[in-house]
Amino acid sequence: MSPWLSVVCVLAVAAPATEGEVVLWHAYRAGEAEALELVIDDFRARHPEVKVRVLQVPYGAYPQKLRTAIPQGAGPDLFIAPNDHLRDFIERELVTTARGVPADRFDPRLMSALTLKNESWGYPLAYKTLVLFYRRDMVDAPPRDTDELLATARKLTGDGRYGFVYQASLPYYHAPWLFGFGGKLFEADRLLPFESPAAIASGDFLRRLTFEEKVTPVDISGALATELFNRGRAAMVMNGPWFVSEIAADVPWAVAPLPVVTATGMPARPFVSLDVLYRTARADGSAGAAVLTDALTSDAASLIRARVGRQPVANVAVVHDPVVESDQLLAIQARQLASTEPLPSQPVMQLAWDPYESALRQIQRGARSPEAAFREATARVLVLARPLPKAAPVRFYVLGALLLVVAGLAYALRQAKRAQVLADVRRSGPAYAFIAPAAIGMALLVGVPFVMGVGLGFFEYEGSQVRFVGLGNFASILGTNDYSPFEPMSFYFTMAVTVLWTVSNIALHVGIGFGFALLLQPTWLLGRGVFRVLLILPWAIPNYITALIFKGLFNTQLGAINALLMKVGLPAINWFDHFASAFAANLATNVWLGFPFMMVTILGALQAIPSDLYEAARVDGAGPWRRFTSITLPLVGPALVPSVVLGTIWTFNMFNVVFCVSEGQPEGATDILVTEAYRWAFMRNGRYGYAAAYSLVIFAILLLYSALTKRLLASRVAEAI
Amino acid sequence: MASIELSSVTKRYGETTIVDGISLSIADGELVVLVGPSGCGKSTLLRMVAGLLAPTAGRISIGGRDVTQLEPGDRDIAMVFQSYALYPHMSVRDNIAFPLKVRRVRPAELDERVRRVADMLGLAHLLDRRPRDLSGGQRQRVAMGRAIVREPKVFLFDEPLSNLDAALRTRMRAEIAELHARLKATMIYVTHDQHEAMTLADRIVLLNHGHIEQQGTPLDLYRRPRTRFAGEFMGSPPMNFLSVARQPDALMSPHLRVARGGLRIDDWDVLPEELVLGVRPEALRLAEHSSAPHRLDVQVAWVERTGSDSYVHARAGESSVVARVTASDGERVAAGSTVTLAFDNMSVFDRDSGLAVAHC
Repeated sequence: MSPWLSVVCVLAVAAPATEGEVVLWHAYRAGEAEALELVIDDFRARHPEVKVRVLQVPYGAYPQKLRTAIPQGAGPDLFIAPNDHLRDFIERELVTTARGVPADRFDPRLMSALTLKNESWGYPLAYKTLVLFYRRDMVDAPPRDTDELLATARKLTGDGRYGFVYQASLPYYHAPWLFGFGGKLFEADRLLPFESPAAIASGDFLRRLTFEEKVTPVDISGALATELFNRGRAAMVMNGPWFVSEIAADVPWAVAPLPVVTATGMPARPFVSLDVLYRTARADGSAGAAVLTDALTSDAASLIRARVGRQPVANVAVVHDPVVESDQLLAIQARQLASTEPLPSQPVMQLAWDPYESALRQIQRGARSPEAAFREATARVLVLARPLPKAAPVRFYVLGALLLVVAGLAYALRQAKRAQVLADVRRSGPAYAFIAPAAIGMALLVGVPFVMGVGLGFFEYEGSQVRFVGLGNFASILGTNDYSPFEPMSFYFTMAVTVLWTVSNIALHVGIGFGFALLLQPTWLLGRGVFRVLLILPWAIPNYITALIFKGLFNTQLGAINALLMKVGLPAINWFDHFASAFAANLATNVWLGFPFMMVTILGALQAIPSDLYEAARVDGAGPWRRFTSITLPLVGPALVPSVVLGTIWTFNMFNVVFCVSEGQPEGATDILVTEAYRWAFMRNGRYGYAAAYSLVIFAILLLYSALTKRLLASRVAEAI
Repeated sequence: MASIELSSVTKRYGETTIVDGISLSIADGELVVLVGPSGCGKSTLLRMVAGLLAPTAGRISIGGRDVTQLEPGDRDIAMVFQSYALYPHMSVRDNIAFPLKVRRVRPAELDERVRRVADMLGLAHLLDRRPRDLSGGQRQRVAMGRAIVREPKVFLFDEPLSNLDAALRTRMRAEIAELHARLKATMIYVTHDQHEAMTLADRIVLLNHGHIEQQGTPLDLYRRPRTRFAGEFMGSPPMNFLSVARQPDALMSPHLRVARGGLRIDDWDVLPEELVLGVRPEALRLAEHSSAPHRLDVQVAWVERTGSDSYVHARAGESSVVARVTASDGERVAAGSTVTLAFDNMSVFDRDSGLAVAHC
């Protein structure tokens, strides 16, 4: 992001702190926020001399805001954030070492997760880890090992119920098995290949749960897991402490530590993630910040967090508090803490989550063996983590850009002179003055981001360093060095999919739109207006909502479409396992969204055809088909062409449907160019430069397409009426 | 070529009757003009003959074949529309060739027939143009070409000239008349313009409120209108109507006296007492230059001079009267003056029923 934009963002977040004020940022909500408020109120009462300003930041943009605000000097003195970005924070120098509070206040395992380079980088306030929730009316005793887990789950599965439910495709939820089977992710900060024997064993276990014994459903969202548990359709759920607030009041539930992995005799080891109090450089030398740090990490504050926020807290002294001990959830969290792994904070992990998730999806559906799936994920991470393009000689490019600008200006001037633009402007001065405000606004709103986007494509970020790479990003995209052009991950494959996607969509939009328009045309049709409104409705609903609904309809075990298939005796389809079916699911969604626009256009064009042309054709002996091909089609055509051009551009960039319905599955094969660009920008360690270059390539393709169709149109429309 | 037979043809939309049981025979090669005011059902009737509308009741046969249930394309007819209905996306050539293409005529024959028709209508140099590049008259000719090229048994014209200016209309009317003379085809021609009807028709069928008011040769309708409506509709300006009372020896009004002797009506005594005289404007002359037997005193309102003739607009009591006089007579008449007009021919109508009781 450019310095300008950062400034704008930062100003939007917070005004700079006034002298002597201590600023604290957090992203807590509900009970946790309430507990924090109590602690702060208490602090204000005790320390009226310290001014505290607390800012609650929306969770989604939190790390991004920290990254931009703190270097600008507009950030907080202290902030509470999870520990998975720790290394990123250190590398970007957003945080300083933790000083002033005795480390023995906290559980040493949690404290060690915050120790790097022999320094502590924050204080653990609370921790979260996965545990086993179960319905007491379905499960008598929680399983002690994985064999018992399978046996119990098997017994409770069937009739639309599942014995054991969790978000099996998310790496965070697979971690307990990976570590329980003896697997490892890192060795001295180096990411290990995913396909170790222990990892393969954990994959086999996943495959057993989901594919072989089917006691665990696939494609489950957090909300769906809650829903199943509350309705008695899930007997056991593996989830974190946040799950408690989602359980319905009338559900008899209990919680237990995760079972022991029978094969290894080791307990399943989930990740533990921490809520950390970080200090920024601004806190150094601020007496107020030191006092507040001490207060926030004190045993008293910890107790409030435990009692009010029901957070598992890190202070050693609080573990044996009677209230905490009697709280089942907190007690089990404390027990589970003994068998956990710290959430990895190495930056490369940000690149690993996505391929790992893709591998888990394939394993849980039985689409690939665990070994093959993990091997591919390893290869994928290597590609994603490849070195950035080398720095390019800036001077050469600046010269080139200057030459281009000069040549462009000269050309524009010559054209303007030839077309007597200046004379026109002088003659219509007041008119141009009237449109000037709007024109300037448009230029700023469209032009500035565009120019910045173009510029961004020539840079890359490495940590906090920006590097000019010239055409390196473009060369990397178009050179498709890591994959053959026929593999799903290559630019050319994605491009081919995008073209196929666009062409098949437009064909169906026009075909179905035409069909409905013809059906709705006759004036004698009763309720024509009602049908028209009903058919336009899909268009009026925000498309991501439709996309999410279709995603649900195509769900393998719980979707309505498979339920219908099974009702008529057909086998259920794993829609997102194969390219063709996943593509078809996307297509169905976007056809549903897209045909009304074409229908409306065609209806309008149909109504503009004089009825006596049809009568003349009837007298001339033309039957219905001949009238359609000789009169309707050629006369609707010219009105349809602009809509097709527009529809093509919309479909080419139809992010929502592809991103929400198939999510690119299987293995990114159904991704289109624009979703791929998004993944580079926001899901692969913020490769903004690469993503901007990707967008520029998309822009160039569409520009070429528009230029071609414009030329085609000019001749076609001139010929028509 | 074919005759056309309509028997009791009716068209109703819900409660509204548009065409009310019309029966009509049209001979082979005859040019029949359907004429009448708007809404009289003439276009509806034509469209039923074409097959574009299905009659609610009744039968239609063409050339002895019952075509009531047939599609327009199967009736061996051609139609020229008021809007011409040319296919805007096709060239003149393709427009004319369309009915042949639909019927899968061989390309060589098709070219030959299109060229022949284009030559006949003077369209040969326009064949590659689009309809939008043509003038109104040229479009009209293309529409006719598309009809002629089929060589159908029957031509149907639906107000084909009403979109043209006056001069062009006169010329096209002549062309249609010539076409009829040359092709000797059966034609039904719909118009609301009585002038067109008079000049073109072998026979005029005057329609009013969905039924036939009167039919016959143009002169027959002009001279012997069967009803007051027929007298009013045919002729321009329309017939003048003057209320009179029957006396034993004359028809009388305060402005007028027509002696029984001049009327040659035999059953005078059975005539209704209240009558209306119909006198055509062109039958009225200034009395001083005329030997015509009947006299009418009028108050002149104003005089309309067209150059060749003058129209004297006047009042006779409650009735307004228009007289067409020579240009020189027109100059002698001053607005506001009282003049005496003389006339010879007239029609006599029953005031209540509107039916003609005599033509003299």
